[in-house]
Amino acid sequence: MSETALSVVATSVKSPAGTSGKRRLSRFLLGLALPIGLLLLLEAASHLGLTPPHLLPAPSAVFETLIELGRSGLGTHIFASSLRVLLGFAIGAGLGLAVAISVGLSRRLEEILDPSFQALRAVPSLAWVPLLLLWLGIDETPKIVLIAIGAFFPVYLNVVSGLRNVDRKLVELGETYGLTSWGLARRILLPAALPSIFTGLRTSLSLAWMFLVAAELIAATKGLGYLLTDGRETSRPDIVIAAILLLAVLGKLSDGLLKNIEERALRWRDSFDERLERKA
Amino acid sequence: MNFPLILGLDEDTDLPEAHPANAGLHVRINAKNYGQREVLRNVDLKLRPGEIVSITGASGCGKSTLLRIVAGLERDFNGSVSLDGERLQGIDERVGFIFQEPRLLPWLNVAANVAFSDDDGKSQTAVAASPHVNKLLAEVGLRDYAAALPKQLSGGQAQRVAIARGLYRQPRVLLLDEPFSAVDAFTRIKLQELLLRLASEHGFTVLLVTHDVDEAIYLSDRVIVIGEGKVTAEIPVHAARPRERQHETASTREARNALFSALHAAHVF
Repeated sequence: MSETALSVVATSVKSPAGTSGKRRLSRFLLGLALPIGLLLLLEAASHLGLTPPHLLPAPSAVFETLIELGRSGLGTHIFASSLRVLLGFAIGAGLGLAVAISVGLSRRLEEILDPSFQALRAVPSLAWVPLLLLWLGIDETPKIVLIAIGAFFPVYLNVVSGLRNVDRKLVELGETYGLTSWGLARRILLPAALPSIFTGLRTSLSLAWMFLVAAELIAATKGLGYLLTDGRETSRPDIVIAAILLLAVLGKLSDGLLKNIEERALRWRDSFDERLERKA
Repeated sequence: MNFPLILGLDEDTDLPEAHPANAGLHVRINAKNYGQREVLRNVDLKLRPGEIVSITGASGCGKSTLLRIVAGLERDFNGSVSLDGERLQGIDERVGFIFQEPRLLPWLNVAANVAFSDDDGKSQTAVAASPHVNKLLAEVGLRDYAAALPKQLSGGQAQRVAIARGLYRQPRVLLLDEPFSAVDAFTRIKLQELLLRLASEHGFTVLLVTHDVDEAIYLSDRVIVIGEGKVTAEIPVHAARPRERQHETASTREARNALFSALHAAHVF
């Protein structure tokens, strides 16, 4: 029995690593099919004069604009936006994680804090903008604070619910080994809540990009949100579309980075998603 | 943590030469209530060192509560639990507990699960190289599985890991709460044999809750029937080990009949 079982363990450990390169490439190509097809269609339509160029420029025109922007300081716009997202996300998600862990581990703190946070969450985040502008002026600080507010809540909500939903049986296991409440948190509750922590972080990151655009649309002299406003004011749809494309790319890249970390940290998970992965 | 890494080294030095009158496990429960409801009363159980005792009875009769009291998980009761005459105060590493499900921590490899009670901050890879862990894994038939993750194990293998974890601290008493009820019939037989072998090699006392009459008769020296919170019957099984599954002897038949009568009298079915 043990020999056959052993080879099963060996192959199931090996196979994902062995096939992942090929799989990843084919998945990448599959995912690329739709956008490339769409671009080709748009290009053809605009050459045939089916689309009005002052509203929907050809993809090649957008590409030219991107190159032109690249020569004239696109880097500073990307850098400014990325830095804002990074700082806002780090502050918001970091605080969200800290508060959620305290609330998730202490019933008393939950009773004190959670109703207030639930009320604050109900405030549409853009409602903070006037207040932030009044309090903090129009430079970097209000933008980063707005992004931090947006990034706070998904982490907070996901981590609290993750900690609350840890399997009671695992908690009981910890009790039979006489774990202290800190030991229980460190050795059982937090690792068990790790999937929720990552879900919260990834949602927060995408909200951070959303709030970045909101912040930059209102008052900015650089950044991708500024490019959006600039393109609208100068009637340049190609600039607007170029900025949207860049937001898509940056959002996807940053999420991909986090997803990569998540996959490494949650390799132990035996989920439906992973079974699909192994079969494919 | 300081405890002997090699099994059985100072076991003998700790113990008196012969078994004194109070050797073994003594569970005395005058009353255990959940709020207004009385779940157990007048339970007086003595287990000799190395004895295997099964507890059976209807669901909700108090079996699991009894086990939780012995494990030190329930401290609010009128009575006492003593081991070799020494009263146990709550959770004690001389008492191991095995659940119905393996309850392995999915984020830890097999070795780190086995060594769960040893929180010395070693990396999982370091734990996987520990001789004590590997000896235990070999004993439960999972040599070379130290670095595997729980998701790679079958139900029976996972329960073997849970048994190894329960034995990590070399307990004197092993408590099992329907440990084999969640696995298929053949795996159950294998796990029962494993428990018997480990119990005879390590010499620990076994207190096992089960709903399976065959299991109770095959494994136990004594079967205790609990009905409505008290012990309603105590049935000894006078059969030498190793016992045979395929041939019923007069004594096992007698014990089985007595057990069925007792269960019937306790309104289990």
